[in-house]
Amino acid sequence: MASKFGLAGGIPERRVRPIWDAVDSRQYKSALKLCTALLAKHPTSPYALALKALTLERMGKPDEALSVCLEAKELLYSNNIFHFDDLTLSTLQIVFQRLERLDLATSCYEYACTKYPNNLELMMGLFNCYVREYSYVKQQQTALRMYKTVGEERFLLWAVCSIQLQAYFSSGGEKLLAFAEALLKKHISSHSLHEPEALSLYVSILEQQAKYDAALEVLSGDLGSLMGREEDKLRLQGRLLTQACNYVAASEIYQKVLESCPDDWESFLHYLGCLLERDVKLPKPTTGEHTCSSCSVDSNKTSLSEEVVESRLASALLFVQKLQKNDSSDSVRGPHLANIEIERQHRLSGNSTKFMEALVNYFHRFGHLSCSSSDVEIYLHMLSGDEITELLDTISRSFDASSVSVKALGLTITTFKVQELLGTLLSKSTTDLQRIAKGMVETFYKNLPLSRDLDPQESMHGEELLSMASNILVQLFWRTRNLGYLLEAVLVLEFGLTVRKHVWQYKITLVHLYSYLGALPLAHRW
Amino acid sequence: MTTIRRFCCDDLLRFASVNLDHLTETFNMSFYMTYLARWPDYFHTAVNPGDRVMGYIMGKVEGQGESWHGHVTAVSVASEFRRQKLAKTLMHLLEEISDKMDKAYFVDLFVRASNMPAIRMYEKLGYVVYRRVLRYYSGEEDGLGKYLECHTYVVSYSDYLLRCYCSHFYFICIFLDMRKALSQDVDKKSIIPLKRPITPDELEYD
Repeated sequence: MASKFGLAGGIPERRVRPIWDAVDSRQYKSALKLCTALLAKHPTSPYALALKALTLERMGKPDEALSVCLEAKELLYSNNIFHFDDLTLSTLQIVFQRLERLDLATSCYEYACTKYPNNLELMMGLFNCYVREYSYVKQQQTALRMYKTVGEERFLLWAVCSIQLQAYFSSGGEKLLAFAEALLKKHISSHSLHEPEALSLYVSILEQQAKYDAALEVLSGDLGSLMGREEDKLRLQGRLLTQACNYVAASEIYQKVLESCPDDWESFLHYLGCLLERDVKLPKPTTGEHTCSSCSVDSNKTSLSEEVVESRLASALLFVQKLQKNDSSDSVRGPHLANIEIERQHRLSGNSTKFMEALVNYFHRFGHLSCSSSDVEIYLHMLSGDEITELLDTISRSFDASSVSVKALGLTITTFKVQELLGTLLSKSTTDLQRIAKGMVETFYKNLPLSRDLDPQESMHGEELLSMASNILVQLFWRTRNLGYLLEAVLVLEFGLTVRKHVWQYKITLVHLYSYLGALPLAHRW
Repeated sequence: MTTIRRFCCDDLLRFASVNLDHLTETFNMSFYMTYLARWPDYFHTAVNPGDRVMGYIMGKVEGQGESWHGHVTAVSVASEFRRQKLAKTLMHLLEEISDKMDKAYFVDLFVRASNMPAIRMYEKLGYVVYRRVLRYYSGEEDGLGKYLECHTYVVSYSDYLLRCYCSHFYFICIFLDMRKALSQDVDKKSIIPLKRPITPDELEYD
């Protein structure tokens, strides 16, 4: 886009800038005054008219704006103007777009380009018009014209992108993609490629045509050095090898990725998928529902025999254990979660001996972190009612809930979160729930000293307790229709905000509760 | 287990849990998309196994000669996923790209002087205060009574938008420009602190 402050249609910048400033700060009346003054001095300037139209449109006068725009357009089409100015055109385009008349903007640019055939700026403006109208073919043609004019790599890439869009959204894609590939090859033979994005695009064109071996060759050749980060290159290679069904090579590549990024969960899933020669699809946890999703998630059955699956899983486990030894910090949880996933695979094929053990170990190690319950949410949904009770008991027994420490607090919160995720709290009696809610607030209160040394703008330890307590209180309201519970929930959250002013979870819930209770001024204030 | 991948447009519809934090600013769509289009390598997100956005980092690279530098426009992590060194991982990623791929001399960022948690984090990551930027705010209340408009051009910071209850006033805000030298800057010239504070019009880049 042209800069705002050029010399447009012979109008000096100092007269134009205040208008833009006024429009940007929503002072439309003064902008209009300035426009009128400008037009008095330059009555035949399409740019001045465009500015007036812009102001009118912002003021909510679309009909007037449109007629002023059309006036400007007439002037442009007449032969009195010395040269077409991209600034004028782009200003008009903005107004036309807001008036939902993209076609008029496009026709202005088309006319400009026929008048000044090799003006790159105008052609780029025209290209953008076609993009806005999703005219992929015209985009492609314009981009190719620009490429032929100046030979810049980026215009070729724009043309290739336009071709890709056509291939995605219409039929007959193969021929088009082959054409795109040919264009790129020709350019590469004389100019090579200079941008990493160019390489990604070339590889994706080959991938779309299922030419995986060709894509891999490109990556391992000279062009491959454009990809700056080795891990990104490896991931792409892994993906291509998987699609080419070369599972052995793909799994080796993913192993390399995991050795440098042990926390990369997606790569681990791909690794496992390659070993088992199928897609390892995990169900996404459904928000707000507490149903146990079934274990028949993996719709693609492997073609491997059970023995081979077992031995592959064993080798995966060895690899994962090696990764675990390499990094014993709290921040790298991937290899430990991987353990659970491997056991899940065992469970799917009927040998579920160590699944619970893996989950328990995970909680022993990472249960004090606030993300631990959401880490394993998918796996928790696989447990039976008894197993859930057993798990919660094991966790509760592993620490002293009465001690005041960050770790104990974290584990307490995790046990609550697990129950919340699995919906086991909902089945408890009203008195039990009341007791739990009270307990949560008391725990929060008891652990306040832990956050004593934190900056007031940092989040506190145990913040989630009040949110969970208010959730229970709201559930109790729904169960008993006793308004007192809602008021208690409000009080709990308001108390939380006196301790920490900026907890958005409290604020959003409060706004909702206030609105429900009809206390709209309070909701508005928050 | 955090998959760190490039941010994509769809993630804009899924990052509310990160941006609702009071110290994180939310810009308009075209701002994010401009960064996505121009500096895709500097815009990464971390997602958890449930495919939830845990945090993200966005930045750019600009400047000339020895001022060719990476810039962190925003880095933020959802509260549930804090205290796991995720911000550090994201910052290291941006620094690695600035250093190894773009051969920049340093990385810099702006942070509000009152945002102590952020300043401490950046200091731990090796950033030092290069200079202070004094910014004057003036503006009117709009209909909601709380929004303040800036008269100076928008400079993007990893800080919260200030809300205020008064109308028609001026006040000064202090921002810190913190920097970390990269391997290209052998003599570490880029991080020698300036003696006096500056105003935004003295800034070389937006």
